[in-house]
Amino acid sequence: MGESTVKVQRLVKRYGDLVAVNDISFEVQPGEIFAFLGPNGAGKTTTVEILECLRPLTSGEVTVLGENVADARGTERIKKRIGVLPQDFNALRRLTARENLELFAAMYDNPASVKELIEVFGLQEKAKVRFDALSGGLKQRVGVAAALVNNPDLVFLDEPTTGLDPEVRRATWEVIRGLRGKGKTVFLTTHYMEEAQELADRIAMIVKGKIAAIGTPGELIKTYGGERTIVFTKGGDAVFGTLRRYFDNVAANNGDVLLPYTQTRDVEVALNALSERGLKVEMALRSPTIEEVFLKLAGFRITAEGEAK
Amino acid sequence: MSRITAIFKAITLNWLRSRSGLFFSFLFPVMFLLVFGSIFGNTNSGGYTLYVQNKDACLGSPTCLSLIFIGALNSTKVVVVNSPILAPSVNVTTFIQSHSSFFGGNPRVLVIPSGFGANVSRGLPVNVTYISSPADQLGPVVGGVISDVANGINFQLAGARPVVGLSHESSSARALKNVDFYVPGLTAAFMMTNGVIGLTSIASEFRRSGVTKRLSATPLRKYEWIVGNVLSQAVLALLLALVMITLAKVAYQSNVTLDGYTIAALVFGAILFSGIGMTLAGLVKDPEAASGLGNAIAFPMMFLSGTYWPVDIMPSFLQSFARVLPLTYFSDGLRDSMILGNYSAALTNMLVVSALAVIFVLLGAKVTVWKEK
Repeated sequence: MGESTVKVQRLVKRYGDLVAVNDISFEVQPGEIFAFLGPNGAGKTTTVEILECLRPLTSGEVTVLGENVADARGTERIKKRIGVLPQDFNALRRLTARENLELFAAMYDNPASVKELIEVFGLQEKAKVRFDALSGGLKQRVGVAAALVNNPDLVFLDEPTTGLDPEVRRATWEVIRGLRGKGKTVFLTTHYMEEAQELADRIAMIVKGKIAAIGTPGELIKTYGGERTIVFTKGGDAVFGTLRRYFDNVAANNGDVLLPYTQTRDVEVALNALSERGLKVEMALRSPTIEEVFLKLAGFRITAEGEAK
Repeated sequence: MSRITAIFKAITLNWLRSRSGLFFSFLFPVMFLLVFGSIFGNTNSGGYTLYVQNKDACLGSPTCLSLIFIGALNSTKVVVVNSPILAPSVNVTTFIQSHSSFFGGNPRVLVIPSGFGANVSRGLPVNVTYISSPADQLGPVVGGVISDVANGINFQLAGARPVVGLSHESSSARALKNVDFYVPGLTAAFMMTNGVIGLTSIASEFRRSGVTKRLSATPLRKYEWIVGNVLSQAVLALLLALVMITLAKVAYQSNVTLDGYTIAALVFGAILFSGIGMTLAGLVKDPEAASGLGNAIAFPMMFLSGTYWPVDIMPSFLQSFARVLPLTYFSDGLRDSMILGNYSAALTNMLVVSALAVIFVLLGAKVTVWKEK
């Protein structure tokens, strides 16, 4: 593996007395989709904007594509090679999708073909529609296209699917996966657990300005997710009563019987006990999710709006 | 350079496609010019109406002295004798009562008595009677003209030659009309509102919606963004001036000119007011508050800078206030070059405008956020 695309060491960002980013360190490797997962106000956007050279840092060292963000010349070189989709992307509202993309393209020395971008993002029919007349999903597509207009090596996507309906969200995920396919590094911030789990090669969970955990989804689940669970669908009182003799931690939920386990032997014991009594059951195995990992680490869930709950 | 061009094109197009932008930048000033031109534009071509009752009995004769007197009154151009003249049988008191109006006041009437011609030709004294309302401010002026014309006849009859003469020249080489006064004034005033209200709200809206921030994440530099915006305002200003001048020429046969001086002044003015707009937008975060502040600054400035009336007729404390308003210098300068042809005064005003332009553009650049805190 070569040099890290993003390298953050002991980054701190203060606004007066408020510490928005509190001594975080991480690296992003070339070609990966890296997700910053956390609730609103955790410091995600602040960190991203420091990486995008839009905000100065208070202390620490940050390099992006090998350039120091605190250095003016470094900033110039970084801006040429990154693509940015900000939270709530907006363009000039009375210009069309095409005109806006042409405007962004004109900011770079060697831009991608706007025509091709319009085709890739399926904007052909809407290319002559004014930006303010586009739906939320189409605006977001223009935003992603604008983020790619300079053929960037690193793409920042800040909350790319917030406010989009599930169908458009899934379509956007496909676009993001496509970026990895093109060898681009993607830095994603999100408060959607599912989005991070679906897309990210690695996830950093950020809580109150600190990184609570970092790793691949599998690593995070393995380390922090805890026990897996057998679900006996509609097992009822008989199944619950039988298992209760062997396991203290068995639970009932809406007629389902849930048995958390850590060893395979526990599964054998449970199945034998049930078959001795002649109880026929339908069962499913459930692995812990990123959401449960986050709950365990942060002590709260995140609502659909991104708030801590 | 290509980035500036792209910003300029995009901003201009975005502005021109806005209905309210177009309305306030072009249609509104045009409406003002039409309204002002129609109300005040033609007063100089007319004269002050005077009703005359001729009781002299020589009607029909070309050598009739009373008719020569009436002709002489008309030829002053200051007085227009209402035609047809009142018949000798008309009761003047009743006529005045029936022709009084709330706005127009009483009509001015001159009565030429019977025997006027006969008496004058014999060198006998005769009095004409002039009746005007005390409330009529122009009454004495018309009275003076009548008396002047009468004196002319007296001189001729006495065979005297006037010793002191008066030659009256217009204050500029070109014949001015009232509408000429409004073209530079309105152009200046609306360039000011375009910058101080229009650009302020647009720039703060760009900032609120994140457009500025998104562009700042590209290699675009802050000065390129500002120059693009200022250029766009300058071109809009030149367009506005062109529209106003064309309209004034076509509708009112105005004498305003668009020379190199004027074009330079327009560009400096556009830079100045877009600098003020950028400064306000940078200082006030909330777009509504920014546009409110723009209005609060633009409207008093518009009325106190000699756009609609000369600064000289305002009370002296307002005159000194007008002297610190940038628009005063800009509209004065435009007037100097567009209608008066007074280029040395135009240059002085242009210097003030360009100095202010530099200050405000620098200030605007300083407060425009390109990197957050």
